[in-house]
Amino acid sequence: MAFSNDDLKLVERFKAGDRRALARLITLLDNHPDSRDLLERLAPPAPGGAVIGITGAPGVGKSTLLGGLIAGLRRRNHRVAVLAVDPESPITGGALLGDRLRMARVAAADEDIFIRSLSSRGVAGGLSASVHAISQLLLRFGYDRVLVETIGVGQAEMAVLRVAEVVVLMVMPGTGDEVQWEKAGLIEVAHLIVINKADHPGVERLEQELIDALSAGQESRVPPILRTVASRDEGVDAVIDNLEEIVSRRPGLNWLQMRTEILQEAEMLLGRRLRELADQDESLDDLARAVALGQRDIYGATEETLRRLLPRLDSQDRPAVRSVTRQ
Amino acid sequence: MSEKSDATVATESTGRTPAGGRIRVMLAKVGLDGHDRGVKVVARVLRDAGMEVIYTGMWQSPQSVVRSAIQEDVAVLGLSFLSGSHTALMPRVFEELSVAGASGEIAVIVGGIIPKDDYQTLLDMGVARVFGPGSPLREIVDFIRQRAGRRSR
Ligand code: B12
Ligand SMILES: Nc1nc2c(ncn2[C@@H]2O[C@H](COP(=O)(O)OP(=O)(O)O)[C@@H](O)[C@H]2O)c(=O)[nH]1
Ligand SMILES: [Mg+2]
Repeated sequence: MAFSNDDLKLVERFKAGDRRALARLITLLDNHPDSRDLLERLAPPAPGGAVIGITGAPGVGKSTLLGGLIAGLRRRNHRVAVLAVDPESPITGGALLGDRLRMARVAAADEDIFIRSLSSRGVAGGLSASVHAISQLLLRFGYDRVLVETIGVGQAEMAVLRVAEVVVLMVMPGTGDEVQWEKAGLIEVAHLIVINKADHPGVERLEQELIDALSAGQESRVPPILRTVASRDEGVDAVIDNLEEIVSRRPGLNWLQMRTEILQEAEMLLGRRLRELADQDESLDDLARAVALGQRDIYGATEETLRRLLPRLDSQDRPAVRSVTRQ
Repeated sequence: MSEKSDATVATESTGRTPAGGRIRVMLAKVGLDGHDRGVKVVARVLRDAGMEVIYTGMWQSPQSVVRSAIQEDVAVLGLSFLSGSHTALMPRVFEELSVAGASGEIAVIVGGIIPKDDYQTLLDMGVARVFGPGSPLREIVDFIRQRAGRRSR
């Protein structure tokens, strides 16, 4: 995407640590998924940062637990950002984003806590692209724990979880939801399961059902299952201990996978640059007309176009806005 | 929701800014004022008009409201007062906005029980508009749309 001068000024302010610029750039990434290459202009995040997804049915206590997690992570000197995703109304497109309310006691306690509410806008894929890009932006600003709150149903929400390196599934006794989590495959992607509202009856039963469901799975991998009473901050420290443990022993990035991803990204960028050059290239129009009239064949015309444009791919005659390099 | 607002007729596109984003509004209550019915009515009306509405809850400080509004990148910040503390607290809200370098970037509106005599005082401080009891909800929606439309993104 070609960035306006205003956008570029925001980038400069972002680099200088201006939170208002960060907030504006989040809006930009959210409204224009094709603005993701903005990240190219920012230094990569310091190592050690992590994106953690918190999922579970509405009302299970995600936002309340997040309040406790934020406070606890701050005590351990992390800089914490939260992306709280709420569904929008399918009829009006509007949304009441109420998660901040439940985190109120820490929501604006200090500048090393940053909370942003997003609506899911009903677009599968679109949401996860936004959330991925925004998480990356927050990591680059210096928030080293990015917590993403999302309800665990619906395709768009499931896709969001793929953005997170660590997934916490929250359940509560007495709802009979376990079957649903199992069906949705959520139970298998969770690195940690939290039984919240442990002050309600039925905790033992729920725990046993979870263990049974997990043991029946193909890999029979049982993640830690913890109990919390989020509204009284009980068990929150143990959740943080476990999270930090999981984050610390995540496998390093696989270079073969990175090779694939670099090539994918390169392919995307190459295609984009090629189209930019083509836009300024009149001989392509002439060639296209010739092909349309049957005077040339498409393969010969393609070869000729490549031969003409490839040497220019790396030259300076690209629009100025694109030539700003990554630092 | 129980209140059937006059804004429910709004179509999806009307909750959008010219640049294609959704209009984002924050509603807040500052101080010890425990009246939250009115602000919740307004929140639902704005949502039904297609906007993204963030409600902070009660007992906020001027500083926390301004920090939150900046993080959420809202075009409009609406404060609700029924306790009579608006004249004492609003100057502190504007002070925080100025400290944060966000003066003028976020439109501030006020609603609730505000004596007529105080309207001008609030407007002089920088409040864009005051909406007392009985304000047509449609007017609140239209005003916010018009204000949000002035932003580039
Ligand atoms: C219901 C009520 C209560 C309920 C509140 C329940 C709740 N959760 O909200 C209860 C019983 C708890 C209560 C308690 C008290 N109350 Co009372 N209460 C009222 C009453 C009767 C109605 C308020 C109401 O809900 N109106 C309905 C809503 C929909 O209207 P609204 O709030 O005005 O909102 C509309 C507009 O103002 C505007 N609006 C409001 N906010 C915003 C924000 C924005 C951004 C915008 C754009 C618009 C907007 O849009 C809304 C929709 O049209 C009023 C009297 C009155 N006529 O207003 C007294 C009143 C507000 N209470 C009053 C008092 C004194 C008290 C108490 C101190 C009483 C006491 N001595 O114990 C306590 C204090 C509680 C506290 N912690 O703050 C006084 C305030 C006097 C003042 N301002 O100087 C009033 C005015 C009564 C009076 N005439 O004396 N109260
Ligand atoms: N009894 C009990 N209530 C809780 C607990 N945790 C949260 N709640 C309440 O559950 C409700 C929903 O919590 P919320 O955090 O908004 O859930 P979310 O929708 O998953 O984000 C709120 O009223 C909380 O106060 C808990 O451990 N025990
Ligand atoms: Mg929530």
